[in-house]
Amino acid sequence: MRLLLFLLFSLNVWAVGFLQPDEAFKPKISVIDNNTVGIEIELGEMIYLYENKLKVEDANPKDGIDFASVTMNKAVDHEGERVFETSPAIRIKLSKSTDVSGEQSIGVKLSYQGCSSAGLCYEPIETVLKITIDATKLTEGSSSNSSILKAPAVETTKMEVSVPKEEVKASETDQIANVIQGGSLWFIILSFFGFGLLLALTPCVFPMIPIISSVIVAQGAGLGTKKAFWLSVVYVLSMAVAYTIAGILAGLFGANLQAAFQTPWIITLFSLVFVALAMSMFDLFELQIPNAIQSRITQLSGKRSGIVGVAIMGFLSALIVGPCVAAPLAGALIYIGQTGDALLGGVALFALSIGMGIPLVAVGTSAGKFMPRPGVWMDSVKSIFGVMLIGVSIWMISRIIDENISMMLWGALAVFVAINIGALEPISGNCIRCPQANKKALGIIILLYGMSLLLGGMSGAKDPLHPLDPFLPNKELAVSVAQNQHKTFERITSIEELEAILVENKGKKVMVDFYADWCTACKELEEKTFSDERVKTAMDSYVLVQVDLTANDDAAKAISSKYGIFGPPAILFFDENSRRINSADIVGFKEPQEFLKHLGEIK
Amino acid sequence: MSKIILALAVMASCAFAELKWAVSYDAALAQAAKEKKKVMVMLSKENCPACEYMNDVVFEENAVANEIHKSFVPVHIDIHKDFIPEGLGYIGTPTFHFLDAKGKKIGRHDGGANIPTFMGILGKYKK
Repeated sequence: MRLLLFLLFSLNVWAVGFLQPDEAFKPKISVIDNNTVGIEIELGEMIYLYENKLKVEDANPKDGIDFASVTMNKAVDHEGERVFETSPAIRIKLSKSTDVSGEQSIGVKLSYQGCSSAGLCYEPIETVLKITIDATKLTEGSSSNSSILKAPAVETTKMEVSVPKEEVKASETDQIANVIQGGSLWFIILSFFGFGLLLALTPCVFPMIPIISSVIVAQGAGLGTKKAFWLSVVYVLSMAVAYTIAGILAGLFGANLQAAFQTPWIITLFSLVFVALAMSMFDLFELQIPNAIQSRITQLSGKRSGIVGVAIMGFLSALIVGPCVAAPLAGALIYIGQTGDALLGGVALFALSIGMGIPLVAVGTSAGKFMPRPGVWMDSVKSIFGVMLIGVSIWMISRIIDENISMMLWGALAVFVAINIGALEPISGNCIRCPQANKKALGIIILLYGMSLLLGGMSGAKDPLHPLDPFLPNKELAVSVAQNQHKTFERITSIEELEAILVENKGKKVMVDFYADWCTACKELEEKTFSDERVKTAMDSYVLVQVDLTANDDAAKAISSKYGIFGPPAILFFDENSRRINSADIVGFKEPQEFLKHLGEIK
Repeated sequence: MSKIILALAVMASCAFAELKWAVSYDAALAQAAKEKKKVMVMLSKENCPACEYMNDVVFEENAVANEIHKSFVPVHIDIHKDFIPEGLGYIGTPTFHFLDAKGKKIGRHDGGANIPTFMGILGKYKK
């Protein structure tokens, strides 16, 4: 039975892959000489001990044998903590305060705590080690009573000041990230609401106006404004339900799209879809349900009455209008799909449809008395959507093309917009303070900016806020020289490759970044930190290696466990002798400023 | 009207990916029963780099947080500060226990894990 239990137990250990505490830490006590006992704690594979948790005390302070001094070897830095990665060597000098002689058993109370680099931290452990010594040979201590009563302080050899802790900073960044995240939700809701309002000003909503009017008129004469208002609200809400369902579906199915959206051809494809949708906004072609079906639903709505009828009509109307607002709606849905969040999808599209519905409520309440007067301005609103969609497509494609090319695309868009709002049209008649003049001025501003983006892009500028940088003589030199010299990361996947690189680059400092495609923090590190010009310059003094853990296969696991990495992102540093600088390890994302400071602190 | 705002606020608070820990073990069981989910208990403590890695990197990942929220109610127990319900063993931290809504154990994972490995663990116990 006991054997069975033991088997089960060891099986469990094997399954979880971690050592039991008594295997991880094996303390041993031995006599070194007449006056000294030594304690070693044998550490299992990948186990380390915290220096500040290691305590040695006299288990029997009143037995007449005292600890005159306790010394131990130096700890090393490990991710900002002082630790022992191999057994600490503890030496206890004994002395006797009373007249004891002969063989005596003494007890040492040892407490310690440690972790496995594979990702588990053990509980503090306290144990009493017993050993027999010959008290006759002990030297007499200075029999001051105070030393009997209090445990002697553990002396360690001098330590340098440890590096400031990083945890505190990390949690600060987290907080900021949380605030931004929290804020962006409301930002999303508000912008979708705004989009909805804008959509309501496109000709798309036209088919809905006769529907809502007839629905309300069908309620019979003498309908109060209040009732008309509520009916309109019901109508709009049920329309919103239809869109919300679409949003939730996009969020649900979009979850799997997330990864796909990283591949260049999918990005290209969608960016083209957006261009096509934009073209429909410019009336190059029309997305609409055939007129026959539209008018039939309008007729039908006349016959329906009551709240349920109104609700059904609202739901159906969403379908009628669907294809017409399809372009902006598809944009919204694809955006939601990327977040992979069904609730966000639902909330966002609900906000959008409420925005769209508000003018309809006004129309319904007044039973068609106030109606936005159709005109050229409605087409302008449509064109604004077109421009926005093209903007989205440029934004998407800019992830896979050079920065200066995407700048040229933005420039081209700006020039098109400028010309279309009449930047170069002569102002007709005696127009000095008329809206046309303002429009022209705005057009010229956009035109100039667009042209500088184009010119800057052609000359290799990367910052849309400083498109003319390449034309400033000093900056140009500095930028181009610096860019040519920057080193790039060498991508590897196995221990062998890393070891070969370390051997090859003896005499040089090496920085090893553990990276994976599925790790957002790694991407952030690449996009924000490693791309920073100052960071690039600072990293030039290192041989740059990137260990790709994307596959998460045996090779990836082997290299992570060899270097005690739980997972990416983590950055290790090796000195000129290919020795790892433990104190320099970085785990998690670091802002450029922090990263530079860290690089500066590495000796 | 205020009810609508409240409902929207509740929906909104669930919408972003920040992992929402239940306030206590009992609250987690209650919530799991209500939402027909399972409970994920994380045993951790201060000064535990692997726990910090889980909190700072793995749980910050939207995909992980979404996967947890889909099937589990996560609850966090500090083994030095909080009461540890009976039967939730550990040899160290972090240790994850997966329970059904009645508190019956369905799985355990010792130690930290990187994102895909942890996703695999979640996948194993969500059924």
